[in-house]
Amino acid sequence: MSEPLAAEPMVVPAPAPSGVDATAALSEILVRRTVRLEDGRSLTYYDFEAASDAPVPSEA
Amino acid sequence: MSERRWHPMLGEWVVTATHRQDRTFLPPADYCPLCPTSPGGFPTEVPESDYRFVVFDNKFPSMRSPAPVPEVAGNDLHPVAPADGHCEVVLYTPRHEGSLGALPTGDLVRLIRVWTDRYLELGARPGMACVFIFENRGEAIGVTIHHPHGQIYAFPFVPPRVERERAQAAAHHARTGRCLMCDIVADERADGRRLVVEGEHFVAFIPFFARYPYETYLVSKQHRASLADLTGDEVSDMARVLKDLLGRFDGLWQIPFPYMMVMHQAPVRTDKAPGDHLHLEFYPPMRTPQKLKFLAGCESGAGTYINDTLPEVKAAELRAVRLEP
Repeated sequence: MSEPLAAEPMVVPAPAPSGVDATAALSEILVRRTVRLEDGRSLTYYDFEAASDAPVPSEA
Repeated sequence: MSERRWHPMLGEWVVTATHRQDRTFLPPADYCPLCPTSPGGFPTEVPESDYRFVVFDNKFPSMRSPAPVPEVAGNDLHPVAPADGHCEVVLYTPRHEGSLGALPTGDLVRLIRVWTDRYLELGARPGMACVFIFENRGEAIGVTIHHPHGQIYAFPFVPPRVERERAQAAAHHARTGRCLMCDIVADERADGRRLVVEGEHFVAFIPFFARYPYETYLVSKQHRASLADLTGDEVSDMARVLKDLLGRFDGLWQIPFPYMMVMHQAPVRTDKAPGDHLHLEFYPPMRTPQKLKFLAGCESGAGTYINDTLPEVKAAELRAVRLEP
């Protein structure tokens, strides 16, 4: 089995040195939107919005 | 055609899924079904022209709900059941090139949040007993589409590997009053020879009992039953340790390192035992850059693994990998 071994050498990126990137991702609002595909299967888009950009729910 | 057939000798289910023989097999990059659909381009699995993360029902599922009626009749010796369940595909990125380990740490945090959402969503569906998150990477593992993605299965039963692990944890807890994985983590940290990466809240190590040369566990240092029990800081640290570990895998031989990655945790949110402890297990199939570790006669027929290497040596190799700045 040699298939995966023929790859070109690659540069491996280091992990983010600080927690800034991760911290920002934690504060975002997770937004999901589910659609029904033509064949009946379900597909969900996941997006992340900055907290200040999130829609404010209207009061009942 | 899909159904569950009972294996009376092993006491476990086997799922048949003959339609999967026809699934997409190594398509060229410009016909990748997991890329977004370009304007005027051929329709992929994802109708929109861009996305962040996408989760969808597998087009060729091993299980589905409602499941088709089995086409074969069972009997007392050979029970048959519908192959109920859910099989989802998780797209990590709209870009065709890349990998889980190449995602920025922030996107790994977001992915962990997506995994958590699916864990809660699928685990709350009627009849589901275990949500199983995993990724197969590389053709050596049998990957048929290269676009970076993982999978999630929701089973209507707790699969035998998870069940056996839970039984061992329950026996340890009954004997000692402690969580088995907590004790393993404490022992590995005290010894130190098999550690690969240690973060504030997560640690990665090749376990004392590794069956594959580079088998690696990534474990919460605190006792956490599932993804849903993690704090924000812990999610962040899990992402960092995961990225570090995957960088070491790819850096070891400077090739995209094949692996199976599986997540073990409380099977669903409402089925939590004292020994359930969130962790990822990686089973890389390579023992050298040119040689695979085959699950041959002894492993497959006797269930006993022969590891040709020592975990202490392999962990040192991974620790020595220099990650490019």
